[in-house]
Amino acid sequence: MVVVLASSSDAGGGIGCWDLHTGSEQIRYKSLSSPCHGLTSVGDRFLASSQLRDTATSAGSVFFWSWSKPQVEVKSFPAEPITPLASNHSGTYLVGGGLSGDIYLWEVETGKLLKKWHGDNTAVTCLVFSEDDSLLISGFKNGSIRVWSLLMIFDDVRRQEASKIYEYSFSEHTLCVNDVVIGYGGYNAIIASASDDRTCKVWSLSNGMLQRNIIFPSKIKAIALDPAEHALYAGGEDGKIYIAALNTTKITTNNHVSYITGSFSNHSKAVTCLAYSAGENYLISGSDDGIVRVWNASTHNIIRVFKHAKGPITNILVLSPENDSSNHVSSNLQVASKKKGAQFPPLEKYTNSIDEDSDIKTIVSLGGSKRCMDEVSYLSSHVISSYSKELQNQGSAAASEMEIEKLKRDCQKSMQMVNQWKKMYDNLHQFCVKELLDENAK
Amino acid sequence: MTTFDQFRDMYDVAFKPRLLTTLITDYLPNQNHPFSNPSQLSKVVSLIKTHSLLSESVTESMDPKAIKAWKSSVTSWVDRVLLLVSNHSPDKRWAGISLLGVTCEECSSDRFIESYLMWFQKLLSSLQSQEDSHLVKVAACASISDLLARLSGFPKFKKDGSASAVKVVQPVIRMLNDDNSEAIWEAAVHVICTLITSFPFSIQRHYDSVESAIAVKLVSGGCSDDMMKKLVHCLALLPKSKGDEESWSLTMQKILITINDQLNLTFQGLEDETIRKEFNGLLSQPGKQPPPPLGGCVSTEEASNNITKRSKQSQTVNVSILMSGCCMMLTNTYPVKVNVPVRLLLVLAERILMVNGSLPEMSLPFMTARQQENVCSELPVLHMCSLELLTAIIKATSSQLLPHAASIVRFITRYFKTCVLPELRIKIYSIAKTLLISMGVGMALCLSKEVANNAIADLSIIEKKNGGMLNGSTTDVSTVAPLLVNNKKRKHSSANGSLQEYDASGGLGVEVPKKCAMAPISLRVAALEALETLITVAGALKSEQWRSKVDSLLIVVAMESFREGSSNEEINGFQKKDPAATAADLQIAALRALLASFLSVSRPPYLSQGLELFRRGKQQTGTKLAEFCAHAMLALEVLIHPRALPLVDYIPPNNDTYDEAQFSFRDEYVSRNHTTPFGLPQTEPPNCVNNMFANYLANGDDEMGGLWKENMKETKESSQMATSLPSSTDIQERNDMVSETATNADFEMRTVETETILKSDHLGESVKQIQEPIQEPVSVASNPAVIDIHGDAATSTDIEPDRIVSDSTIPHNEANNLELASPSKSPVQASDTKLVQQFAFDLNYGNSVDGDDDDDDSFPDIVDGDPDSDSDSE
Repeated sequence: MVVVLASSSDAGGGIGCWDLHTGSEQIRYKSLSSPCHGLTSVGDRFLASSQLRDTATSAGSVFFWSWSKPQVEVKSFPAEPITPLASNHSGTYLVGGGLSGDIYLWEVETGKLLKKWHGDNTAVTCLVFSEDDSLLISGFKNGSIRVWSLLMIFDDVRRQEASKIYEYSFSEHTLCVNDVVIGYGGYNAIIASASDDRTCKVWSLSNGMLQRNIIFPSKIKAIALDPAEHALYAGGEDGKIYIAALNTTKITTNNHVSYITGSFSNHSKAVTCLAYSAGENYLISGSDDGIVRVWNASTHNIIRVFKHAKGPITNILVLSPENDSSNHVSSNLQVASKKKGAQFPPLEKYTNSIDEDSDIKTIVSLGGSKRCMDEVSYLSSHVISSYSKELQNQGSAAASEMEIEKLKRDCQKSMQMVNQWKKMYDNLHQFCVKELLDENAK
Repeated sequence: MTTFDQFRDMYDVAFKPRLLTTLITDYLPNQNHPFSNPSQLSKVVSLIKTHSLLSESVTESMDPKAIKAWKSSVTSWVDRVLLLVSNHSPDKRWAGISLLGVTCEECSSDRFIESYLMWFQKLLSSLQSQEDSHLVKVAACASISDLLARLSGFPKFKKDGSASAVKVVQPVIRMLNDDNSEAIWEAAVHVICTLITSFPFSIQRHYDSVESAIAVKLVSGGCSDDMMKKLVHCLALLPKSKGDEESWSLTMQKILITINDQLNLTFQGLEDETIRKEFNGLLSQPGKQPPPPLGGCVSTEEASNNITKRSKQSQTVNVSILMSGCCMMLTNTYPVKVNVPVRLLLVLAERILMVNGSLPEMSLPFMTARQQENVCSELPVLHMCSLELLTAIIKATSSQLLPHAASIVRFITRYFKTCVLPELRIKIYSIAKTLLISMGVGMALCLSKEVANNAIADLSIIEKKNGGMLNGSTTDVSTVAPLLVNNKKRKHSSANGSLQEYDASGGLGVEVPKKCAMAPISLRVAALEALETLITVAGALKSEQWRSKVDSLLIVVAMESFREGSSNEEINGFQKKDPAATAADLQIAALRALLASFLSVSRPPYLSQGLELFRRGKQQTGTKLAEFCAHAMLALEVLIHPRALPLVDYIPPNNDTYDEAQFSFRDEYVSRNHTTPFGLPQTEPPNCVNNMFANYLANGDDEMGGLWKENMKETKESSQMATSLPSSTDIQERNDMVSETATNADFEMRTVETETILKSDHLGESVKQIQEPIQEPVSVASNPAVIDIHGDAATSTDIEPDRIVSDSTIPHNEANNLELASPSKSPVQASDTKLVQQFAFDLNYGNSVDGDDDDDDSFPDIVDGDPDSDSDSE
C-alpha cells in the first residue's frame, strides 16, 4: 500500500492520509498548524511533525504520532520554534531547524539533544539528508544553502581546527530558499534548490559547483525530481507546475536562455509542495487552496484530487508503511514495551552540559527488528562421523577407554566361558573316572 | 522382499525400504555379534541422509504397499536403534544413542511427535548415568540436543519441550563441573546453546549456575583455544535466555571487568596511565555496586591456583577470548534493544592498540626484558582482537555511530601510520571499508587520503619487485605506462608530477633485490578492496588529487596481475598452497577496483586498456575471473553505449507555451551522459532505440530525414555494416546542408557563427581523438573515416567491439543518431522549427564531443560552456 500524507498550515486541519491506489482516506492525525517541511516519517517507525503555535510562546513544539492512532503520542517542546524537520533514513536521528538559524540534532531513541549548531543568521527553511545520511543540506531564509558533514559536526577537535564547519556554502540565491532536494547517486548526486528569487539552481555535490541556473516566470515554492532525473518539476506561485529539463544543453532562442520545457496547471492558487511517487510515476502537488492533486507524470492528467483543508497544504509525503507492520510481529517483548507507554521519549530542550558523558552509551537494537533465523544445528551425525574413525583406529583416549571397557566385558565373558568349560571338564572328568571305576569294579 | 522384486529407479519409493532393511541387517551392530566396524556407521548415516530413508515422505500417488513397507522398515530401524541404546556394551550403546540423534533429525514429524517423549527418557537416563564412558556421554549430549532442536520446530509442544528441557540442565551442568574431558564439555556447551536458543525458559532458573560453570572454565583456562571459543560463544548467548536489557548489560560489564583485571596485570608498566584511568572511570559507574566477578565466588581458589600455575602468555589468550565474546555479544541478534557502552568499548580497543611494547621511561627499572618479550609476543593477537572489537562496534551501532565516528577516524588514521604487520593492516583496511560504506560521503571526506596513501604504498612495492624480476616482460608495461602518462599530460596540463615519479619506479624496471620486502598477496588484495570501496563511495568527490594516481596505479596493477598469473601458475601449481589469498584473488581484486574506477568518473582515462584486460580475463573459462569479467563487460557496456532512457515515457505537452519545448524533449532522450550508468527499475518500458528509429523512418519527410533514409538504404543494400563506409565527406556534407539551410532561413547571425565554429571545431576534435588509438598497440589503426563508420554502424544495435575499444566518441555518434530519429515523435509544424531541430543536432553534436573531454564534470551537458573555450582549456 502506498499512502499520501498531507499536512496543512490550517490550524486543526490535521494530517490527512490517503491510499494512493484507492483514494480512500485512511486516518487523520490530529495536529495544529504544520509549517513547510515540518512533516517527516522517522525511519518508517512513526510520524513526526513540527508545529506552529501562537507566537506568544517562545518554545517550539514537535509532535510524534504512531501510525495507527490519530492522537498525538508524544509532545516535545524544543527551545525555539522549529520549522523544518528531517530524519535520517534509518530513523535514528531527527534534525530540526530553528527560526534563529540554529540546527538541532536529536537522538530518537533517547530524545537527547546530541548537537546544536549555528547554521546561519536567518531562519532555517529546509533540511535534507543525503542518500547515505552522512551529509545534511540546509536552506535558509536569506537564500544561502549549506551542506554539512555530520561527521564534522560531531568532531569537536576538527571543528575547532577548521575555519568553517560546513562543506559547501552556496550563496547564489538572493531570496529565501523554499525547497531543496537531492538526487540519486551518492557523491555524484545533484542538489536542486528553489527560491523566491524565481530561480531553481542545480548544484553538484561532488565539487560544489553551480551546474545550472533555471529562471522561471514566478517564485518557485516547491520542487520534485523525477526518479531518472530527466526533469525537474517546479511548483510556482502562479499555480503552474513547470517542467525543467535537467540533462539538456543550454537552449538559446530569441536571446533568452531557458530550460523550461513545459508547464501544466490546474491550480487556481500557488503550488506549495510537490512529491513524486516513483512506483506509479505520479506527481503529487499541494496548493494554497488546501487541495492535493495527483498527476500522471507522463500525461499530466489529474488522477485524483484530495480535499484536505481550507488553508494551504504545507507538506506532502509519499510512503509505503508496510515495513512498519513487519516490525510489530518481531517479538512479544517489544509489544510489551509498547504497551507500557510511549515508544520514544520526548526530545530534550537543551544539551545536557553537566552530564559530560551523555554519549557513553547508545541504545541499539541488535538485529532485533529482523526475524532472526536461529540456525538449528544438528550434532549427532557429526559425532558419528568424527568418532567412528577414532573408534576404528582406537586413536584417542576416549576411544581406547571405550575399548578397554569393551575388553573388560569381553574378558569377563571369557572368564565365564572358561569357568563353564572348566565345570564341564570337571563334570566330564568325574564322569569318566566314575565310568572307569565302575568298569573296574565290574 | 524377494530377490527379483525390482524397483523402477533410484527415486522409486520401493527402493527406500529395501535399502533401509539392508542397512539394518548388514551394517548395524546387533545384540549378539560384536560391533566390528564402527566406521561403517558414517556410511549408514550418509546413505540415510542422501536418500532421506527415514523421512517417510509420501504422496497420494504412491503405491500403498510401498508406503506400508517403508513404514514398517522405519519402525524396525527405530526398534533396532532403541535396542542398541539399552545394550550393555558401550560401543553398541554409543552407536545406538548416536543413531537415535540422527533419527530425531531425519524422521518424519508424525513419528517424532509420536515417540519423542520415549526417546527423550531413554536419552536422559543415559545422560544421567555416572559411570558411562566419555564417548557415550558425548553422544548422549549430542542426541539430546538434536532432539530438543527438532522439538523447538513444533510450536505446539513448546510447553512440553520446556518441561523436558529443564530436566536436562542439571546433568549438563554437572558434566561441565565434574568431568574433565574436553569432548564432554564441548557437547555439554552445545546442549546449553541449544537450550538457550530453543527453550530459553528452561535455562532461566539455572542462569547463575550455568554462567558460573562456563565462567570458571573461561577464567581458569586450561582448555584448548577451540574449546574456549565455544565457551565464550555460549557465555555471549546466555543473556538471550532472559532476553532483557539488564542481563545483557550485566554480562557485558562482567566480561569487561575481567578483561580489565587481566590487562592491568599484563600491561603493567607498559601503558599510558591516563587511558587506563579513563577506562576504569568508565567501567565503574559511580554510585553503583560493581557486579560480582565473572563466574561468581566459585572462581577464587581454583582459578587463582590455575593462574599462578600458568604463565602470562595464556592470560593474554584469555583476554583475546573474552574480547571475542564482547564481539559476539555485539553482533549476535538480541530480542530487545540494549544499551551498548560504546565509549567504554572504544576506549578498551584504543587502550590495547596504544600499547606497542615500548617502555615508557618511568617504568624502565620495573620490567625485565623477559617480561617485555612475553608481552610483545602476544601483542599482535591482542591488537587483532581490538580491531575485531572495533569492527563489531561499527557493525552493531551502524547509523548511530555518528557521535563516535570522529574519534574512530582519528584513531585509525594514527594507527595506520604505525601498523606494519600484514594481518593487522588487512584488518584495518577492512575497517576502513566498513566505515566508508556505512557512512558514505562524509566518511570519505575524512578517510580518503589515508586509505589512498596507504594502499598506494602497499601496492607499489610489487611494482618495484616485478620491475626487477621480470625484466624480459616489462616491455608491455613500460610501453603502456609512459603512454598513459603522456595521454594524461596532454589532456591535463595540470597533471601533477607524482605521476612521473610513479612511472620512473614502475615502468623502467629498477633493479631491486629479489628479497625486497613485498607485500603479501592477501595484503595487496585488502588494499585493492579498500581502494575499490573508496572509489565506489567517493570516486569523484571534490576531484581530489589521489584520484589520478589511483587510476593509473590500478591499471598497472591489473596488467601486472595478468602477467604474474600466467608466469607463476606452472611453477606454483603445487609448490605454493596459500588458501588465504592466491594470485587469482589478487587478479579479481585488481579488476574489481579497476571496474569501480571506470564506472565512477565520466571519462575513464584507461578504458581501452581495461576493456582489453576484461576481454582477456573472460577467456579464462571456468574461473571466477571469467565470471567477474563477464559482469564487468556488461557494466562497462553502458559506458560505450550510454543509454539514458527516461523512466517515464514522456509525451510532449500540447498546450505548452514554450517554443523550445519540442526539441528539448528530444534532447532528453539522448544527451544524458555517462553519469548514470544504471537507472532505477522502470515501471513502463520506455520507447526503445529501435522503436524510435522505426518511427523516424516511417515519416521521414523532412530534408534531414530524407538524407538519413537514403543513408540507411545504402547501408542496408550493402547489408554489411563494416564494409559500407560512407566517405568521410558525408558528415561534412551534412553539416554543409545544415549551415546552408540555416542561412537560407535567415537565422540569426550569431547562431550561425557558433554553428560554423562548432563544425570546424568538431572536425578538428575528431581527428585529435582518432590519433590516440593509433599509438596504442591493441587498437585498430584507422583513418578519420572511423567516425562515419561508427555513425552508421551505430544505427544498428549490433556493433563490433573491436572498433569501439579505443574510440570514445562513438557513443555520441550514436546519441546523435538517436536524436535525429526522435523529432519524428513530435509533429513538425513550421520549417523554422525544423531548422532549429537540425541546428540542435549540430549544436548538440559539438557539445557532446566537448562535454566528453570535460573530464571530472559529472554533468558535462549542464555546463554552459562555449565549445571553443572548452577545448582550449584542456
